Amino acid sequence: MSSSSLFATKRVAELARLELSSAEAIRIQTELTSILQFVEVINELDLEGVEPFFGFRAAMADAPKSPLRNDLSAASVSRDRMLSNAPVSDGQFYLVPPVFDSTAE
Amino acid sequence: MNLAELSVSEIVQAIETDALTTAQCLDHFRAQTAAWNPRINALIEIDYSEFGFGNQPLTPAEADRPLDLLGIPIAVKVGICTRRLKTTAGSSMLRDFVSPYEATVITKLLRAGAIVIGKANMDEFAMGSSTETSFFGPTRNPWDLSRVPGGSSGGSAAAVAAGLVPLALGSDTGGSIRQPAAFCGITGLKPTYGLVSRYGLIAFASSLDQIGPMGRTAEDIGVLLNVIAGHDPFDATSSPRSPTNYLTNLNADLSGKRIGYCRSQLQAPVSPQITNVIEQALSVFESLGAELVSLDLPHERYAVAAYYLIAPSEASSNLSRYDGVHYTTRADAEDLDQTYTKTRSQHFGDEVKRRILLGTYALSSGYYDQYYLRASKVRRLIQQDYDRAFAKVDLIAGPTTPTPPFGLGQQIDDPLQMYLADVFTVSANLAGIPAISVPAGFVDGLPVGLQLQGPAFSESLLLNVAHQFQTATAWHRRRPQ
Repeated sequence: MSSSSLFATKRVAELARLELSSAEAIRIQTELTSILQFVEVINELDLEGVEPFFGFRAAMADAPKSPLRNDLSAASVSRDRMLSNAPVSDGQFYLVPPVFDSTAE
Repeated sequence: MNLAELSVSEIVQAIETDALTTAQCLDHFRAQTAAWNPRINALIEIDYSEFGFGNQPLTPAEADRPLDLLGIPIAVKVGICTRRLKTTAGSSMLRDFVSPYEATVITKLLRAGAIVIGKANMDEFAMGSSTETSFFGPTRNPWDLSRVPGGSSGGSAAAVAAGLVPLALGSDTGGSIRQPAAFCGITGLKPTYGLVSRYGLIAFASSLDQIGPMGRTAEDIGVLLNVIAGHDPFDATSSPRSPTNYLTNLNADLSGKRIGYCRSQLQAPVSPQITNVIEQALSVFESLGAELVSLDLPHERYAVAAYYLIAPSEASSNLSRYDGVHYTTRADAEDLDQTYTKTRSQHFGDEVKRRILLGTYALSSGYYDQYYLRASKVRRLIQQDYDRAFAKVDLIAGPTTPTPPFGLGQQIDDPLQMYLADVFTVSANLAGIPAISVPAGFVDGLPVGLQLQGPAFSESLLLNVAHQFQTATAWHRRRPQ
């Protein structure tokens, strides 16, 4: 987007499943361009040989292995309760429109 | 008995000894809520029916465990899942969502005898520093209704400041507990990453998010921290460390404690009036016997940039689940792909869209190395700065924010300006260390916060130093009119 292409904004929007009006796309592009220009400051740093850090994990500090548990199934939240927030459901599944428009050839 | 002036422990003790009933306690806070909430919009869901097992108020004799929060009404940020009351995360996307399960912190609160009386307003999906991006309208600062309470936990902060509740839960990803605590003149703590379970917190940035306590004093929030901290098997990032009592050392004296400060945090862009407040606070520590040590955090100037690459990247992933399929809200569409696109486009606000787009871009093929990976290396340098600092000092003190609370509408159209409000808070999230904000003074009648940062798992020390500061000063006792 730092190459100022409206097409690029729309492409990223597609990846994120967002649809922007032309006016929105222009405004967001301006905002994102200025944000990206701001974050360029990190390019001042020589990061050769620096290990990335993806977050503090006390579990790793205190116990090097990933936390594991025995593979035992236990009661969980009931299906009814889980489906209580379904926009459309048949009581068993979440229902969605077809992947392809049913009128498509 | 003036409940507005009692500490949480004093209220609990009064209820335990029958000097006060739970009903009387709730009546007081309900009246405060009726008087203030219509003006400040701190709580967007309110329910005073009593909780607790069997809906009866518990007594210590009936329970088989300590009830450290017996009868205490608590406001919960609306991004934390509760079984009753909606969990909307401040978004149209979740406007009708009632969670099928409750967050681990809620289970712990209820088991300790607390009563969840409402959900507190927040910036949409925790993205913001002013509580102006909420779908449910902004929250106003009780100290000046034309100003923001800060964000994203602005509702929680305003609720405590206006006396609607003595305690609230917030969440902090880049400063979202500490900055509103500073703007509202209250005390708020972001715990060490992993100390408090994130199970049931609607995720924004999973390597940065933490739930934390907010209240009027370090002592009060310590009571809440004791209840919510601890390992949770439902959160794989939760620390296996055994919980400790974070109030044990509350009254330890400060002689010999080394408190670091950065000269860079006492000059522009920090307002000179805030610098003055912070310098006075540092003198208080000196007078209490602490040793002040000047130090540098050389990579602090890259922290906001690193944060605004990492957090949106993680958010773009976390928010991909909101697709119109599972969580109540769905736009009309002919096919599945359009369902995703239209639901997301219609029900996410502008700031959320901005951050999703930024994050999607920073992670996309060809850009991951340049943006997300580089930012994660900067994150390593920031973490190392703190390791070096804590070899020389016990804590670092400085301003929580560079400016006093700004006006509603003043910064909302300038995202970058808004992001710079987080300059002193994001580093603690990036490194995973704990940090607390305490009221330290006023500028033109508006609250100013002092931030204390400590090494991982140093909450006991943070609460101790904050408490001693609150014993020597009275800023935290002032109330908005």
